[in-house]
Formats: sequence, C-alpha cells, structure tokens
Amino acid sequence: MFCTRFLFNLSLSLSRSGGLPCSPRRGTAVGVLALVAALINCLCNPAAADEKVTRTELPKLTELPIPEAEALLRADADDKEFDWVIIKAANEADRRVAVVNPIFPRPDTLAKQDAEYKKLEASRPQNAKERETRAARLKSLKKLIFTLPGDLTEYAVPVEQVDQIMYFEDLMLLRVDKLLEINDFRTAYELLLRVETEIPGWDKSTPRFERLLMVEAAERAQAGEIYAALAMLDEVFQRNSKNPELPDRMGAIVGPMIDAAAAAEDFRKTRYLIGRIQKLFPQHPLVQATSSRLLQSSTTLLEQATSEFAARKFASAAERARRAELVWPTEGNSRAAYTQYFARHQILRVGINEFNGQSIHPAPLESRERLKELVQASLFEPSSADELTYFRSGFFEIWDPADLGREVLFTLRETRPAWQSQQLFTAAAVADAIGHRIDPQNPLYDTRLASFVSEVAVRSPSQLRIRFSRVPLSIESLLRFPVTRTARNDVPPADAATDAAATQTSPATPNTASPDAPSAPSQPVVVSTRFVQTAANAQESRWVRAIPEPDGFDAGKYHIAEIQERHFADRANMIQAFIRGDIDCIPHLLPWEIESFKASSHQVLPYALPMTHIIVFNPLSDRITNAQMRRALSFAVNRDGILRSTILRDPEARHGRPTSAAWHLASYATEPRQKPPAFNLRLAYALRFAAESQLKIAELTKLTEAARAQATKDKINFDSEVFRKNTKVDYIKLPRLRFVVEPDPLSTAAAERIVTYWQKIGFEVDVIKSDREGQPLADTEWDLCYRQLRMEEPLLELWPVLTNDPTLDMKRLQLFPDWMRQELVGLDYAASFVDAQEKLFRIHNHIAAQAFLIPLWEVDDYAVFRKNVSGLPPKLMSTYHNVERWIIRP
Amino acid sequence: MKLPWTLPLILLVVLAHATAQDPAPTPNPAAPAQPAGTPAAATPPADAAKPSSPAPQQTPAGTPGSVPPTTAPVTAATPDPVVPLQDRPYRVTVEVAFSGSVPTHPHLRKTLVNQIRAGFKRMYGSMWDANVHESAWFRPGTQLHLERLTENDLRTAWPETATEKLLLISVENGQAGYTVSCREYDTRIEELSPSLSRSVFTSQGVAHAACELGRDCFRPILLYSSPTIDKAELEFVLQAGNLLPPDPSAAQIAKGDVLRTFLRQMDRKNPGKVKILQRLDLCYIQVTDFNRILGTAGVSQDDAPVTLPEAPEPSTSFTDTARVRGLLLSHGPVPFGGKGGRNLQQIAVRQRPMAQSSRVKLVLRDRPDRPLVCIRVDQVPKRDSPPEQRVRHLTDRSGELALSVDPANPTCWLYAYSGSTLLARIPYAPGVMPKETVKLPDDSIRLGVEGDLYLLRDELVDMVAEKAVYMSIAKKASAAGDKAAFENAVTSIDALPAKQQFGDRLDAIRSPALQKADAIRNATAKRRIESLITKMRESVDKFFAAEKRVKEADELQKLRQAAGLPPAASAAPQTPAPTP
Repeated sequence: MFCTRFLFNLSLSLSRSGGLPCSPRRGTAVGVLALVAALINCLCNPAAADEKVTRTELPKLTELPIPEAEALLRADADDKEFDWVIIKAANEADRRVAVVNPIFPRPDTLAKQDAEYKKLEASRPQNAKERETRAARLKSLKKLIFTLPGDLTEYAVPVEQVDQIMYFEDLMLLRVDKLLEINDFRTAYELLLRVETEIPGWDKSTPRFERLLMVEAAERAQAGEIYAALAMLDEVFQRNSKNPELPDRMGAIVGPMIDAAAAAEDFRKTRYLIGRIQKLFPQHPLVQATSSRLLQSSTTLLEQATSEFAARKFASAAERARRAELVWPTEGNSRAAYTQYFARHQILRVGINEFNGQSIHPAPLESRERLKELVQASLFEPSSADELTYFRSGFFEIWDPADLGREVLFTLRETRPAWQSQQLFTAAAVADAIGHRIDPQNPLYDTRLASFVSEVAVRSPSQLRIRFSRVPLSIESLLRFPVTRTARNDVPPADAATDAAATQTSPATPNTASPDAPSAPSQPVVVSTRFVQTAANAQESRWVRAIPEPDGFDAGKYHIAEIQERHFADRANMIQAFIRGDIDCIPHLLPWEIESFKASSHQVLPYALPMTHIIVFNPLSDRITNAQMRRALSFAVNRDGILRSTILRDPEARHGRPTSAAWHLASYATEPRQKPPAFNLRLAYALRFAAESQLKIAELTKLTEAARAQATKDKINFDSEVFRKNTKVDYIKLPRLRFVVEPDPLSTAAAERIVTYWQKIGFEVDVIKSDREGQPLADTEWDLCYRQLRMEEPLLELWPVLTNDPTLDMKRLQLFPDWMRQELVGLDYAASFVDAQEKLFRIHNHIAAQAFLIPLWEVDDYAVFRKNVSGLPPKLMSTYHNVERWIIRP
Repeated sequence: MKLPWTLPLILLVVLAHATAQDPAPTPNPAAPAQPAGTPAAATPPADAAKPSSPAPQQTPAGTPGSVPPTTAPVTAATPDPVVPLQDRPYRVTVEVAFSGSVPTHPHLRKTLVNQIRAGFKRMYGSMWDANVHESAWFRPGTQLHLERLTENDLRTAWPETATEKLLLISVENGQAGYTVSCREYDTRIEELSPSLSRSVFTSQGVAHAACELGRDCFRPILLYSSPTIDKAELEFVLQAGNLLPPDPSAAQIAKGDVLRTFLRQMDRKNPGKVKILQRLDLCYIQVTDFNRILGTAGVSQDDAPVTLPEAPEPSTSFTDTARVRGLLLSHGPVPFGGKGGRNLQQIAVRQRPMAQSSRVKLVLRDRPDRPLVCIRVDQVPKRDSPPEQRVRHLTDRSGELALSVDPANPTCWLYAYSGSTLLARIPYAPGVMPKETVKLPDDSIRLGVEGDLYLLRDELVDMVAEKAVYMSIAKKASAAGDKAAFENAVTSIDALPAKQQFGDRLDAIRSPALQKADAIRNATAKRRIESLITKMRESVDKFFAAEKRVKEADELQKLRQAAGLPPAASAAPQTPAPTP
C-alpha cells in the first residue's frame, strides 16, 4: 500500500511567495515558496489531500518503500504518474522526499535546466524587455518547479536544495531490480517495456533489459528450454555485443548440446549449433574445437567413399559421401570427389504422407499408381495430355497400321539409350506377353484385348505383327501393359521382388500375381521392370534401377539411380523435411499449399491431368435400390460450397472446380453442355421420398400377391384395391448406406460434409474410413465409395470405374439398365474418333441424368521439387513420369 | 416266371464274345503297316475311301444310306434284299493313327489296332459292320491334328457310299504315357463330332480307352417315321435298333437323351445324291420313350385295355428297341416332323453330352462377326417354369455364355432380352455341342430409344417431385399468410417444364430413331419404337391431363384466397376440345 503522508517542513528555509498559491494563468510562481505539508493518499483516499495542515514533514527517503509493480502499472495506466524530488540533508539518511507530479523536461531535468541557464546567461539581450525576460528566466532556472498530486498550485524549490529527482521510470527500474531477484520476468519485462515506451533507449533501462534477458536465459536453460535461452542470449547480443558474460553463457548452454548432437550423429544439428555460436563469436574456443573434430570425421568418411568408389561400390560410396557432406561440408578437392560420387549414384528422396499399408478401401487408390509405374515399364505409356492423351513406347521404334487398321506391324527397338533402365525384348517376348493376356486360362487374361486381337505373328526378332478382329480406336491405350513371361524355377530374385511390388501396387487387381505365391510355375511375372524394390519398412521404401547406367560417363551424364520413399505421419514434418533438404520432392501438394510453394524458390510442377473426385456405387449392392435414390444423393451435395471451404480452402477456387464427369473436364469425352449437378436440397428430398415410396409400392405389391394367393387357396373373394388401401407399409424405409472413403484426410473431411447434407434429407449413412489395415472390403460390405482418380483414356477406363473391377466382368454391370450396358459395350466398338466422342457424350449425359456415379469436383494437382532436381517434364503425367531421365545435382 | 424269348439271343451274343477274344488277332489287309518316317498326309488320299471289305446290303432310296456307293465294288450282280433300317448295322470305318515313338514299333501298332478291333467287336457285335485298320493318310496321329480336321477335309474322300461312320482315333505317345483321341465323322450329315481325348499310362490301356472314346463319339442315327397318334410327339426309327450291342454301355438310346435334327433333300432324279443338307440349329428332339414293351398280340400299350394297378401285368414278350419317341423343341416353326415329301429325309442324331458345359455365342443376325455382348439371358428348364427356377446370365465380351449340363433337365430354354423386349426364346441342350452360335436381331436402335425415354421419365419424375415440393411450400405459406413466399412458390410451379416441352423431347427422340430404323429397313424396330413412344406420350398426357391441371389451379386459387391475396387473372387452363 502506497499511502503516505507527504509533509513539507516549514522549518526549512523555504518561503511561500505572497503567502498565496501562484495562479496557473501567470505561468510559474516566482519567489520563495512556503512548503506546504500535504498528506496525499494517492490511491486509497484522495480526500486526505484536502486535509488542512499547517505544518507537516516530508518523509525520509530511507523510510519510503519502492512502490509495488502493480501500483506503478496502475498509476501509469490511470495517468497518475509521480516523481520523487529528494531534498538534500546534512545527513544522507535524513534526506526527504517530495512526491510530485511528473516533472518536465525529463529525464535529467536539473542538468537540462543548468545547461539552459548557462546558455541563457551567455546570451546578450537586445532590449529591456528581453533583459527582463532573461532575468526572470534565469531566476526560474535556479528553482525546480513542480506541482503536487491533486493540487494545481506550483511550488518551487531552489535547485541547490535538490539532491536528485527520482523519476517515475526510476522507480519502475528499481522495482524491476527487485522483480528480477525473484525471477518475475513477465512483470519486470512489462515494466521495462513501459519505461522503454516513455524514454526510448534510456541508458538506465538498457542494462536492466540485458540483465532481464540473461537471468531469464539462465532460468530457461535450467528448465531445459535451450533454444528459448539461446534466443534470449541472441537478443542480449543484439543489444550489447560487448556483454562480457555472453560468450561464457553461450558456451555453457550450447556446449553440452553440441556434444549430445555429435554423439547422436545428428550432424546437421551439430553444425547448426556451431554456426549459432560462430555467428556471434567467431573465435569462440568451442567453435574451433568442434569444427576441427567434425572436419576430421568428414575427411575420413570421404576417404572411405573414395576407396569404395574405386571398388565400384557406387551406392555405398555415394551414401558415404553424402554422410561426409552431412558431417561437415566439403570444400576444394573433397568437394569435387563428393560431387563425383554423388552423381554416379543419385538418390531421389520422396516424401510420402499417406496411409502406408494395405487399406480396406475397395477400389484401387490413385496414389498407389505411382509404384506401379515405377516398377513396370509398359509397352505404351502416356507422355502428355490435353484433350487427348498421347502415348510413347520405350519398346517399339515404329508401329505401322495396315489393312485399314486391322493389322499393325510393330518394329522393336534394337538399341537402348544408356538412361533406360529396362532391357530390350525380342518380338517373341512381346508376343508371349500379348499371348498371356489373350489366353483365357492365363491369370493375366484381358477380355477386352482378347476380343480385339485375332492373331499375333512374329516375323523376325524385331518385328511383330498383330492382326485385329476389329479395328481398335487406340492401339496405344490397348497395349498399356508390361512384358511378362511365365515364371520358372530359375526366376531371379529381382524379378520376384518386382512381381511382389507390382502386386502390391495394384491390390484390387485379382489377375496380378499374388505375393503369396510369387513363384508358382505357371504364374506370369513382369520382366519389363524399370525400378526394383530393394528394401521396405514402415518408414522407408527403396527402389533401384533394374539395369544400372554403364560406367565411363562424365558425372553430369548420369541420372537417378535410386528412389527412396520416406513416409511421414505428419504432413507438417514432411514439409519441414522438404524445406530443410531432407527430401527432394513432395509428389502431391494440398490445394492451399500450392501458392505458398509457388512463391518460394522451389520448382512447382503441375500434373497434366487434374485429380477428379467422384462417388461410385457398388454395382453389386442391393441397397442402392433405384435411380431416384442415386439422383437424390447427387442433388443433395453442395459441390461448390464443399469445394471452396473444405477441399481448396480458397473462396476464389483457383485450383479446383465442380465437375460433371469422372474424367477431366478438358477431355474430348466431356459433353460441353453437361453442367455439374445442381445443388437442390428440395428436389433431393422429393426424390428420396419417391425412392422410398417405390420401395413401399414394391412391398405392397408383394403383400397383395401373397394375400391373393392365400385367398385363392381359401377360396374367398379378394379385392386387391381394398387390400392395398387398408394395408400399411410404413415400416419400409430406405436402407442405411455404407459410405467408404479413401484413406486421405481431405477426402474424409469432404465425405463428412457430404454426409451432413445427405442426413438433412433423411438418408442414414455410415462413413467407413479406410485408414486401417486389412483386406479390401468385400462387395457385401459397402454401398458407396469416395474415390480420387485421374482418367487418361475415358474410352477404356470408364468401365472399370463404374463397375469397380479391372477384369471387365459383365456380372458387375447388373446395376445398369440394358441400354446403359450396351452403351458401355459400344465404346469398344467405336469405329472412329468422332464415333467414340459421340458415344462418350451420350454416356456422359446418361451418367449425369441417372447418377450412375456422383461426380464431385476436379482439383489441380501439383508436385514440388527442390531446385537441384532437373530433367523434369513440363507437366507430369504421373508422379514418376520419365523418372529415368531425372538428374539430381549435389 | 417265363424266360424271355431274347434269352437264346443273349446266349448267342455271349458266345460270340467268347470267340471274339481270340488272343491271336488277324492283321487287317486294308491297313498295311507303314514304315516309320513315311511322309504324313494332311488329307485323306482319294483311295482312302475304298473300303477293305464289301459294302453291306443296301436299302432302297428314301432311307439314309440307301444309295449304293458309287466307288465301292459291287460283288453281287443281283440286287440285295431290302433290309429295314432298324435291322441294318452301321457301316463303320475305324482309322487308327499313331505319333510319337509308337510308329517305330510295327508290332505294337499292329497289336493296338487288333485290340481296338476286338474291343469294338465285343462292344457292338453285330450292330457295327466295322472295318478297323491303321490309317494310311491320317498322320501324324495327334490330338491337335484331329482337332484341326474339318468336314471339308473329309467330305470328298469319304462319301456316304464308302461308309456311314468314320471313326478317327489318334494314339499319341509321350513321356507321360499315351494320349488317345477320337472323333467321329458321319457321312450322311457330313459333320464331325467334337473330339474326345483321354490319357493312359501304358499301351495296355490304349485299346480300352480308344473303344470307350469311340463309343462316346459314336452318334446313332434315327429316321423320322411319323407323328404319334395324338400328334404331340414324333416317332423315329433307330438304325440297327433291333441289333442290340453286347455291351450295355453302348446302348444307342438312353434316358434323357437329346437328338439333334437334320434335313436331307435328295435329288429327285438321282436319289443317291444329296441335294440339300440342312442342320436345324437349336431344334432338338427330347427322347420321351424308347424300348417300348409291346403286347403279345402286337398291340402297343396305348392301345391295350386299361388294367387295374393290382391286376397282374399283361404278358410281355417283345421290346421294341427300334422305335423312339420324342418331343420336338424348337424356337419357332421348323420344317421337321411334317410329311416332307418322298425325297426328304428327316434325320435325328443322338449325341452324348461331350462336356460338362457348353458355350453359346450370341451374334447379330446380319453381322455374325459382331457378338452380342452383355445381353441378358434367362435360363429356365421348361417353357412354363416358375420364375424361381430362372437362372440369369449375361453374355461375356465374346457374346458367349456358359451353360452347365443339368442331368435332371437335358434341355432348357433360353430367353434373351434386350431391355424390355424379348429378343428370342430358344431351346438348348447343354453339353451336346461344346459351342453353338445363335443369331439374334439387332435391337440397338430400339434400346437407344428406351434409354432416352428413361431419361425423359426421370425428368418427368423430377418435375413431379419439384411440383409437390412447391405445392407443399405454397400450402404452408398460405396457412401462415406469407404472401411473398406463396407468390414465390407459385412462380416456381409456373416455371416447371410444361407438356409441350415433353412432347418436343419425345419428337426429338422419335424422329432420328425412326430414320435410323428406316435406313436399315428394320420394320420391327420401327414398330417397337412407335410403341414405346406412344406409351410414353400417354403417360405424359395422363400427367398433364386438363382435369388435373384444373384441379391444381383451383387448389392454388383457394390457397391464394386463404393467404389473403387477390385471385389470379386466369388460373384454370381451358379444357381442350375432345379429339374426334
């Protein structure tokens, strides 16, 4: 409680001018002031100030406690600051204090007055008036004028009598000192900030700031908050680089951390910590000692790498060189050696943030397609896309149609570029692969291909002729499969691994070789492999070239030799790793990350085709009863709203748009007049009601038939109209739907939003999240499925999507009416591009009208690469598009 | 109990068996042993048809095999007596061919041929007049070669005059033993049977396997004689029906048999020459009765007096094994079972089920190269089977569907649908032929119209649903006195598609479809399209009936008044004048 009586001792040699208070209108009162004793109860009892005393005494400085922080802050907030004017006394302990309103100018009021006095005294007034003014001013400068709290009367005291002025800020700093003693940093910092606000850069507050930071740093370090402590020491350095305590303090904190990081072989951290000290104190002994130690380790590692490189162990040499670089950056000749080793065995580190493992999702995951492409080199592969998808082949040099397209003569490549990682094949091998797919007894049997191919003839080791029973519209998209051969007992391990990987990449493909029986005698195995998996665990998968690049090239001519996929449970950690350089690539950016990465210095590459989100129906489910139900589900989805708020998180929707098809909207297959289904909850509700009514009618009909049969049996009259009128079938409800969602947080969030809309119109839906291990759900366990896909050729890929089956099994078309089935079948019989387009337009219209699937939206897809990755295509067709030709610079 | 009169005959057959098992087989003069390495002939040589033994007795024209062979030597100058078909044995030529290591062992070849000959003799006895020898032209004797044979390869070389049945048996020797395959060629119907194959481990089993395969491939011939008295079934005469085979497993007819049908139009001027041979696909005879027991007086059971169940059975002394009764199953009217004329032979062939299932391929009638993919086909055991017995199939990408053999129902009916239309209703006997092709009309134009009408119907449903919703809103707004909401609801109702728009859509669907049907001259499709459009138009008319619109307008008017709004200027539409 700061409530003190301030007394003015009349016995002092002070007098009051005129016995009256000075008028404020007259400016300052001149003359000897009579000291007025005033009892001021600053905060508690202001009325006490009005107490009339005739003789009072000022308190002694020694008796006056330093105001509490709370009182100071409150006074500052209420604009009731005060200063202490300390009056000289013979004995220092007898000095008295007058609590006054803030004195200006401040700080150093007396020094400033004295300086002005001297300046004014040296001046030469020009006339009498100026002389009079000067004299008056000189006289006033000999006095310290102030007012008392709650009193407008000005008082003056001779400067000689003033021992010192203790400003309000001084009092705050004194309180700061006290607070620092008890480690109350927050309050001390607050007080210091107030002082800094009032008197910026005051030489009295600067050391206290430093002290505050030093004390708090020590406290934080003791509490284990090392980086916070370092940040405070950095701040101290910024304030005063010459602080003598700082180097020792830094060493004390960072030294143990460096030792721990080095012991844990976290050299990045070690170098970071060294750098942190080095930045402040380049000559710090800790810097010298640790740097030389790490440099020595790095040199040793590089020497080992050199010997391994000489022994043609390129992978381990590159690994060791990378490690040497990590321990301590190489320079000079070491740098040249490191570059050579690095380039000879380049490793692409890819960050993966997705569900890792066998998901229960019943449909193939588009994200897993990257592994299929990484492992298998197909006869034809997509190279670019706009309205159409264009293909290239790594196996065929020329393919010439003849006999109006009924026959195609393929000429195989006889030479292989050095960068290509798959081997060359003879025409017989390719013919065998085609044979596997047109043989009904073979597990790889492809009914569609078999329906086209009538004859395969090998004309020479490099020439193959395929005769078609009917002309395929796109030979390239028909022959998108790898070269296979029937496995024998002498299958090399690489092949077996490839098979397992290939199988792993397409879990929903029943025809692919099973990992459980990879070496079954008659099981075809993939031989046109691009990369082969060498290691895999929960955190990382490694893939190396099936055929390494030959020796003898310049270091700059080599390409990626190994791909490491690193799995991150947390996306933030993955992005952090990318920024730190721990990974080179993030294959898929979330929509709201795209602009941020574009603004950075990294390479952001778009995919040629956007990712399309759709909901497909289980063709074998008996719960999706009729078209009205499907349409109700479709009309109830607020595509635009969910897209902007959940998928893109962008009100402008720059990287996505609602879609009306399962393929990308720019495709030739898109009927331009077809718009995305409108969001119409009322119509959806009515359709749901209609669907339910249809179920009730069916039930009523069934009951009527049964009753009629019974009546016939009992030989009684039966009036079906009366029966139908009197029979209630209100117990018939639409079945509860099971909605399975891809193991992707974005899809899950969108699905949950969709379900809320469906629930609004009365559907009961269970969301099944696929982010758990297990066998894919059987057809009896789900009704709807949220999928993301990238359809390159709608003509051939629509059927598997609609039926959720790659084997083109006709039984899975039972959901569709006959005319729709025939339209789907008719796609294979398209005679020309125009014919195919017309058929696809028609199917597009019919799918939209009957809601055979629910198109949601398409989202632009991007990948981000670090600057050191080159050789990338301008637009990616897939994650590892043309990966054999990518180069990573050290 | 009296012994049947056939007992002495059976004893004779058994005796004949005993003599047939002569351990020293006689070489076949017609099948000289060929040295190994003799070039194989891809097709039978011209003289391959020459039978090594004299031709059997001939029958007059009008019955199968009645024409004397033109190339066969006639040994007797006087015409042979006419032997009825049921008493006439089959003239069978069995040619055995070898491949692998067997051809290098003449003795083994000879032994195998002799064993096969003896085996057939034991199996068929007098029912076959068999000539078994090693083939001089059918080389190499492999299963593949056998399967690649076509009727064209045999038609010229093996005329009906040379033999009635040609059994080709290949014996293929490999590391795992012997593969024996067999295929039958009937010269009267000029058709090869599907090939059958079996593997045996030792040469001792070759002859046995060959005989069994020959038995299974052998297709007895029946000749239509007349309809039954009630005209419900057909009656056939079975060749060599009176000549019972010693081996019961070689019986010509068994329960549940299905006969395939053929027509042979003989040249009127040259009765031995076949003018037209027609195979009646998807036309079957389901055997209903055979081995009928006849009364002693020669009166059939049908004509016998009715007897009480507890009364003793009438004395039976004769089983008519030569006559077979059957039910004609066909998808439509077929020229079988009628009078046919003197020169028309109506033949039925009994064929054992060769496989556990058959594949039926559906193709377009006008374009047999275009399979009908994903066509809905219902399989029912009988035409009037209840829906529960229906098995639904979908044709695969080749237009095929697999039908399994059902022992309880040797024949079935297939109902092929295209949308709401029944494309065809056809009988089928699974397992008899491994593959069969059925030609169906093109229904794509009509089906397209059906699809378009589906979409139109959906739009109509949407409109109805929306109208119901807006009416509900209008009612609530009226009850709450919310004029603005009521007006909005009425405006929304007015904005819904009108009858004219649906009519225009119908015309837009109809016209191009009819033009397409006209272009391909498909009158059936045109008629069906018109029917579909008419039905849909009726539905639209029904929904937009003037009475309903008047009722709705009245209701809205009442709601408007209840909402406190002035009545609309002209709410109710004018009722159109009735059309004449």
